[in-house]
Amino acid sequence: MAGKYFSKKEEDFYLPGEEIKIDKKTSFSSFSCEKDPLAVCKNRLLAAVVAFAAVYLVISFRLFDLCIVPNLFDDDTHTARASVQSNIRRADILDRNGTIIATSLPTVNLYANPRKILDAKRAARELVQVLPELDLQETYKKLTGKGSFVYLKRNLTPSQQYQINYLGIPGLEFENGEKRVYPHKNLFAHIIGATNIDNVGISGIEKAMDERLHQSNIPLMLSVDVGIQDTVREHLKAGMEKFNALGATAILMDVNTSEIIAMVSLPDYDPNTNRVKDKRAFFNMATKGVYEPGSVLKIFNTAMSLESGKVKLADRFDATQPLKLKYNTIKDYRGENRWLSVPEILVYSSNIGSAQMALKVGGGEQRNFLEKIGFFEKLGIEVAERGQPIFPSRWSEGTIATVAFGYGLAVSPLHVITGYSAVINGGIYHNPTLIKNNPKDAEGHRILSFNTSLAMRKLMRLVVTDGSGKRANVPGYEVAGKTGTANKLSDEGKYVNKKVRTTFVSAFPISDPKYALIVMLDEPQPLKETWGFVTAGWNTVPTAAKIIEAVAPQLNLKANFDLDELRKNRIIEASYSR
Amino acid sequence: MNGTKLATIALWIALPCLIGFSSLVMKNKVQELENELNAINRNIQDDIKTIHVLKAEWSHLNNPSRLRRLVHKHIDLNPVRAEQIINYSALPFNYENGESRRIAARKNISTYAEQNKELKKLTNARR
Repeated sequence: MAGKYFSKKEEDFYLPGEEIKIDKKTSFSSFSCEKDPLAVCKNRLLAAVVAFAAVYLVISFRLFDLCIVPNLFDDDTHTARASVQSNIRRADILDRNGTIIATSLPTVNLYANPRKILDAKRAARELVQVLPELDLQETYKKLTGKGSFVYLKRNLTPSQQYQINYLGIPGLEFENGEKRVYPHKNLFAHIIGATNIDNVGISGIEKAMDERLHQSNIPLMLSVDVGIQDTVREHLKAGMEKFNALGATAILMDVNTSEIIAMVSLPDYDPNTNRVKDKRAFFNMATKGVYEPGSVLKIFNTAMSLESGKVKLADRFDATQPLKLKYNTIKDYRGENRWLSVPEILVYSSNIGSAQMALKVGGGEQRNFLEKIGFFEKLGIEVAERGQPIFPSRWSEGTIATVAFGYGLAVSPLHVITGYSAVINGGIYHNPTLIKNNPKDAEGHRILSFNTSLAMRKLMRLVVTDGSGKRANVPGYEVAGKTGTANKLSDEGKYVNKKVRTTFVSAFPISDPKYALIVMLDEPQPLKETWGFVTAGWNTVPTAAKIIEAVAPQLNLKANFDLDELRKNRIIEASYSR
Repeated sequence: MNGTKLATIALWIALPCLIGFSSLVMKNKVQELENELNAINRNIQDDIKTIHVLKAEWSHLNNPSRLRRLVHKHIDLNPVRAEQIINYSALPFNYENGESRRIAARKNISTYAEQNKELKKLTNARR
């Protein structure tokens, strides 16, 4: 049509006005450019009609789309609907059963804009009446200060907010905030840690997982259990008070996954207030503190020796006299003074025998084994406080011998319990974790053959039935473990005799190990009923026994109760009380 | 002015009026719905907040040491001890074979009686 418009046309003659007169012949049906003198006009008209029609078509199509068939092209994201998100930003922390152990509560913060305050003196006076904890002078100073933002008070109660609103002072404004609360107070102090006033983690999980807690408000589920944690803490506290210890720590771990079920370090503090009498309360003994574990390390020494193949279970070592090395002499604590087999070395906790075993195996293998169970590095636990083990850089003959029975190497109790779990569970090491079903390191790596692990289970059971752990023989739960008593170093770097750290590491039930428990007391005092002894068998072991006895039914363990065992136990108990 | 023209004009006046009126009604309706939606959203927000606070309080009330205190005060329950749970095989009569205590007593097998006595003695001594 347009082509025709541009083509050559006949020039006609019109009278003035004639060309705009529409005659009856001019209609769309008989439209023809060649014949029609009003071609230009008609073409434009047609173009306009087409354009308008197109626009109306689009409009009607859109209307049809919106009204008759909703959501033909759109997904329903544009439809208005009730959608509310919680305005709590920091994620909750739950225990393994979903009980809240840390949460944020919505609060209101009061701030002032000093530029908008008309009568600062009166405002300050009225504010102090509502909030008596504010200082009048200081408030006045804040209200007359420069700038347009100053916090007056954080975390108001609703009634305080109402009263301040009621004062009607211009320039005072509210801001939505949140406050971290820990409903269980002291119970999880060292695991969870605390946050500062700006809701940023400053210790424990709050610090280590700050980013995760900040990013999404999906609750974080831990592997700990509120009830069990409380039972452990209660019994540990009782033990610590009974033996007048400076501090105490206990860790209960799932042997097969290295998930921590309970972890207590005493003294502790209330993270809601952060006020303590003793600064030591902030120190996490379980993960941050590194200590020489003492005889407990003989477990790993025996496992390593058996695994190497150079030492057999039936091998015997001379423990008749102290072992003389280049720089030091190794003695036994109340030694047997005879040749001892490998099980006897562990049961009677012979330093001389252990040192000889280690020397026979050699330093390289010893180092490798300790490295495999993570004794030379920080553990990947999800708390901010992680202890760096202390070990000698030069691995001399003396080091081999002393490390064999637990001196000259300082690790945290968490290191010990994790390594112990690996020795007991069939020989597979998992990184310790506080997160439930943590996919990280779920596979673990093998450190021992299954047979060595089986042998270790039997040896450890012997320690409880016949050795220093007799008082932990809780009937029905087949406890197996090893005691350790380490002399503390004085400030001058010398070992002090009566100041000790006693440890008991145990697993139950040993026929099919499920849980491992480590209990440590720092400087337990001798009592009349312990006959003046401060070794682990007299204080840590009974404490651990109480914990196991109370915790095992909670852990849903079926007691394998044996009348003979009870009878034997009664006799042992009677002999102690006589 | 003929009838058709009049009808056409009337139609053209009536149509905008109708459209105008209906769009006004619709706008009001939408406004109303929007207000309602906002109110619902506000309520949900308040409810979420309340639920959150209640959850925290519930956790606080479930504090194990508080529960223990209440248990000591109101009910006479103690933790289960290992020796309170024994295997069927340790029972003084053969439970698994459908033997009841009465039949066992009637049989009066001396070994059973002996075991029974011993068990009683042990548990008494334990208490």
